Amino acid sequence: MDAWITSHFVNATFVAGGAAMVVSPIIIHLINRMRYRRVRFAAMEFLLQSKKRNQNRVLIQQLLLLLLRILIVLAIVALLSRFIWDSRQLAALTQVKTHHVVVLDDSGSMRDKVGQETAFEEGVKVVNRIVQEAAKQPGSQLLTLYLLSDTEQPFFTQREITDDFMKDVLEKMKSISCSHQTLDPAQGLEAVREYLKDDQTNINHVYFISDFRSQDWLEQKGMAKAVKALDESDVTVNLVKVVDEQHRNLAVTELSGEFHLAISGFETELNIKVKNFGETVEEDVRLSIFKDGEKLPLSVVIDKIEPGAEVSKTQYVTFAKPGKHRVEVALDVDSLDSDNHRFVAVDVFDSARVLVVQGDTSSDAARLVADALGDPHVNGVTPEIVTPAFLRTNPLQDYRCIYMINVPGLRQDEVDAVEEFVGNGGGLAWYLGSGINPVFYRDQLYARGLFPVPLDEKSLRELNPQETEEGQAGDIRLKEDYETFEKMFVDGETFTSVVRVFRFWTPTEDWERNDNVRNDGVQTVAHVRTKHPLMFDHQFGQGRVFTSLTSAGGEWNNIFLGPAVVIRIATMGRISNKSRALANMTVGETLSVVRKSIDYRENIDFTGPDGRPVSLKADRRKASELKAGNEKADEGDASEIVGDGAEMEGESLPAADEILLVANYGETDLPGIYRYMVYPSGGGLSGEENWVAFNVPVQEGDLKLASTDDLLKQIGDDVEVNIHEPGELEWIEAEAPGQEMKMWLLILIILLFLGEQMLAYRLSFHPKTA
Amino acid sequence: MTRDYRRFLRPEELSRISRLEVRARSVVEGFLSGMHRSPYFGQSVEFAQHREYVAGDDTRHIDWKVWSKTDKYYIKQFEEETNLRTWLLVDLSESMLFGSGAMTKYEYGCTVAAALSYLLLRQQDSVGMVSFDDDIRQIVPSRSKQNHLHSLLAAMDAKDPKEKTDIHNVLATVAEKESRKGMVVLISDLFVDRESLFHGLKMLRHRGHDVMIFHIMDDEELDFSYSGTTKFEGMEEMDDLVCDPRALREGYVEAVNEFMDEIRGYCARTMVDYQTIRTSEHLDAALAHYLNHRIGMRQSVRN
Repeated sequence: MDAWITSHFVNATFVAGGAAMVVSPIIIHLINRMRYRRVRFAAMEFLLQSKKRNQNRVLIQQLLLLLLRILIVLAIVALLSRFIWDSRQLAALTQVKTHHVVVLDDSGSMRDKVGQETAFEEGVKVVNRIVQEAAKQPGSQLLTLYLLSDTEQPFFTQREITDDFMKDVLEKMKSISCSHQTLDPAQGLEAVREYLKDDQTNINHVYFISDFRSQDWLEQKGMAKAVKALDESDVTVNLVKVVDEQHRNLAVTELSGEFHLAISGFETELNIKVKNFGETVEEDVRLSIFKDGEKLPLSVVIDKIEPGAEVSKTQYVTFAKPGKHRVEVALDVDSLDSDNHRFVAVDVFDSARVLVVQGDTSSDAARLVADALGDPHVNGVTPEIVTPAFLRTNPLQDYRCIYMINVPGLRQDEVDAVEEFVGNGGGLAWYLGSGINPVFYRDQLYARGLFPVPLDEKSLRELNPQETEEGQAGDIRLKEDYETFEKMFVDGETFTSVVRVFRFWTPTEDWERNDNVRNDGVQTVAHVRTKHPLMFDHQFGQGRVFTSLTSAGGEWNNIFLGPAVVIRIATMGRISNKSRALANMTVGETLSVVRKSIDYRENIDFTGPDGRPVSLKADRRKASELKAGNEKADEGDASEIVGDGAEMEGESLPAADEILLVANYGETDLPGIYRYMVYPSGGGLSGEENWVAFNVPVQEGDLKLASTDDLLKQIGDDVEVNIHEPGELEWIEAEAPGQEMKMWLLILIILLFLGEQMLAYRLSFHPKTA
Repeated sequence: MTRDYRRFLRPEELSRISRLEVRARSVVEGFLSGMHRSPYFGQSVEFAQHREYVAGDDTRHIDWKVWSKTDKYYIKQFEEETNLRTWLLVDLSESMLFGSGAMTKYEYGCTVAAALSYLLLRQQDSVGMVSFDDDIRQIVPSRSKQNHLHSLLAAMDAKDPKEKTDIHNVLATVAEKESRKGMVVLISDLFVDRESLFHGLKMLRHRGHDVMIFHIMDDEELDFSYSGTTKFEGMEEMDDLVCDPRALREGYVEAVNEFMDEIRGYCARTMVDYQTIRTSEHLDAALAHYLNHRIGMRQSVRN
């Protein structure tokens, strides 16, 4: 009873005293009956007659009057005690329960600091408050709690809210932490709508607790649709804001570098980008760089970053030892700390051995290429000039790239060796010249996929220098979005303005020039100014092949003679998958590891940034199934993400019926370096360690908020939605467990008074005035 | 009651009512010539009618002027004026002692009786009085002397009032006692058995009396404006009742009106003058209203 009183009256102490007041009209009535005046009366005959006639009516009227007076006292007591009425109590009588469905946004932006706590912690408080208020009405309240990061499996599912459950919730909510991921609020709302679709038995209240960022709610039309759909499914929608204003925020948006050239003892370039997501200018922004957990004594300072601007900084680090290294860039602490850190894993080699195969020993082209590639004492690159015979007589696995310079043709075993090398991830570059045999290239190399285009005897072209017009930007046109050439462009201009091409091979006439139409994976990355394709890039197995239809030396062009020499650097590094930077993924993505079952054991050990080890047993699946799964994933089915994160190193493509080992590791919410060990079948206890960097998504740093007005405008006037401002929790008291009935009680008292007065007037005598 | 019976005739009221004339509505018999029309034709100055002479008529009454013109004998008849013979029946029962205002019904009724006596005696009419409660308490013979008023007033003294039982007995006694037609004035609250009342009135009317009823009612008896819990203690051995009078008022007023309508209806049917008088009304105003009303209704009952 006490619990009922405390849950229904704000001033519960008034209730007992007030209830005693109920007897006052009865006592007054009885006292009136006991205290009467005496009148000697003559016309008793008529009085007794009247009494006899009206006895029942008078009794009923008197009782009604007494009842009205008791009700008035009750209503006044309820008003003073601040009675709380919940219409759901009525529902409880009819077995209809109030179902609170709470969706708590735990995306990365909810780590935004609001005072001493994060927005997520504020959201948890709101959840706790809703549960606490609902627990005041046991037996009629249900709770379903979704975390936006897991909309498939609610955290609590239709749990009846009791005191015990409330304690359980309060305890468990302490252990929930906010993710670092970018999450789609529309997906959460849609999941709720789907969940409540068949629930017609309860009164459903949906609470979406979030920071309501502009990019989620205003820039995506899907949100308004999701809210509208929810509203149309007879659900009360509450949008609960937990962040009051946009806070200052700087974020490290990129940490990249020439990691494919990372060689121990030599400097490696780091490119760092910092963006100001705030609305004020940020000055004196300091960056710290950590290598393998140790802060480097470097001082990286950005003087000024305008609001919304992104500033790039280049820094160099040197790795003393070969092997895998962890690099972290960190900003000073600001409102959102998670995007102040960015990680990258770098695989550092002790040297980079490159083969330069020369077909024409009389030419200096091979020497030019070797010189351009570098020197073991300058940049760690060790080029070796060999003849084609070297390919069949020596193992190639220690080399990262093979440059074929004007090679006329190869023996079959030499082609096989090259094919295996590239298929296993090696890089291959073709530079043609006058000595090549176009028929061999077409029949042997093009046919096997090692060469991108077919050639014939008529394929040789010359570019007339006289066709060059004054002021034109050289003879070649590079594809701007080809990553290998990215560094060639500065503000849209390239170093190629001085490049001249005199002679080149061109594909046969019947070869389709349009990459999209041809769709064979070969990418045309450069043309001569006469629109003839000149350079290509295509994938072969795990390796990549770069092809230039003009020469490497000065015989047919001046590419390797001028500033355009950078082409070779980029080319050398990029085409070799053996030396690429280790995978860089976004938190929340599934890390899929795929290995051939005949080469590796099933056990794969993962270790997160926090050092927590997880051992997984890989599934055995056919390669054809895996491919189908990939395609399915590409179509948007998120049931299994295998693709971007698929790690399958050092192996050639499996046959369709080959059995693969697949392990999916999904606990990747924490940003940092994840490691996993795969164990070769015959390798004993030693395994191969691989590193993958997981970083927070850049867009989570954008903390611009959607205002209430903008939200309402976006959602539409026809949608009934309650938007609650941050910090205001009174609506929970007023709405979740019930409503204080001040106004209704006042109206009731007035009506009761009117009724009482009318009845009393009717029962009383009023002499007619003249 | 001592000499304070004189309270029923206050000088100021007497002065106001003395200018009124009391006229009987119907012809009454009397032995004194007065202002009232007599059923007997006499030698007064007021011509009444001609009638053809029949044998036995006094030849002194033959109108010879008519004989000279018509050669037929006609008797000339004149109105004969006589004094009014009035009996006042005054109710002195217990219920008449009720009064919410300045006067009880008893006091008011006696005042009415006194005022009428004074007026009638002043115009030489003879007045008799019968006071009664459960039975006739006192009968004052009819006299027309001025000093008869004291006897009348003395008879109005009410000691040990009792419940009215059978009013029929009272009215029958008056009817039997007064053989000559006259006027009977009943002053009462009429809280009696209706059948007895009607039977008695019928008897009086049957004897040819001109009957007038002054129904004395207190304001509270008519309006019943009591409020608050009240214990009504019945007079004349009626039961007590504790009630909220406001709740019963409507039914009470309805019952009273039914009661009065019943009496009023019966009186109208039997040519009995009926007048309800509230004890709050001024006596002169009530009498003036009534007597003027009677003058307006004046007509001969002689056919």
